[in-house]
Amino acid sequence: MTSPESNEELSRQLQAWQVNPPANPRFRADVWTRIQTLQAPPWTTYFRLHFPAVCSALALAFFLGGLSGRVSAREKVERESAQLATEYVRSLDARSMRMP
Amino acid sequence: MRNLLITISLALALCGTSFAVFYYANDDAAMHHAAREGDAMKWLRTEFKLNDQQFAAIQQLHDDYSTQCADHCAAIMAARRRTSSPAEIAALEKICVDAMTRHFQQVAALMPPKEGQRYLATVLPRIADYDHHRAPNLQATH
Repeated sequence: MTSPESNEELSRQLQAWQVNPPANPRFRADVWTRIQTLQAPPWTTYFRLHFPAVCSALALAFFLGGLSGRVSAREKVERESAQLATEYVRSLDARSMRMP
Repeated sequence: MRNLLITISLALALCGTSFAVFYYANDDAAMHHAAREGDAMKWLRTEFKLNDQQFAAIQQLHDDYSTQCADHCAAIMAARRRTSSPAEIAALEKICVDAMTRHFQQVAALMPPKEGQRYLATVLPRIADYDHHRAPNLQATH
């Protein structure tokens, strides 16, 4: 059993108690981000909802990757081929020989 | 937002994979090998898709021409050493150019017609492009 005096003391202390949490400037934004994350559909649903746009983006990525891969490889081979062609002609060209 | 990021990541992964696949599909390992070794005959074989028989015949022609080229080289070097007249050196160089042109035409004749034309279109301008002032620092090797 508690005495009436101790209850009054507790009441006084509770009345005097103040909580001053630090203000979070991103509180609202964080709450909305959490809400949106919970509301976002799974990717498969997103894919179905945006089928034409997602397919176009993936097709474009495939095309651009393939094109740049092809161009890079061909450029390197052509550069090496041109260099070897010059070496080949030079190796048979008596004019390019220097006196020892 | 999360789904958009997943889609962008997928697109980037697809782009990278596609790049790698097309790069290796259009790459030429034999050409890289020839370039690394500076092997002009390997280049000739790879670039003009020569079969064993064609390559052997061209190799023989090349070896025969090397002797002729060595003679031209010696004559030009001797003329330069004794500081002959520019006209004499030019005449010797013309002999060299004519012989080289004939040799290239003989090599082209041993290739399939289309490849032979492409070969001549590749090598003949390089004879004409020779620049006396930027002659490579090469020693005679034959």
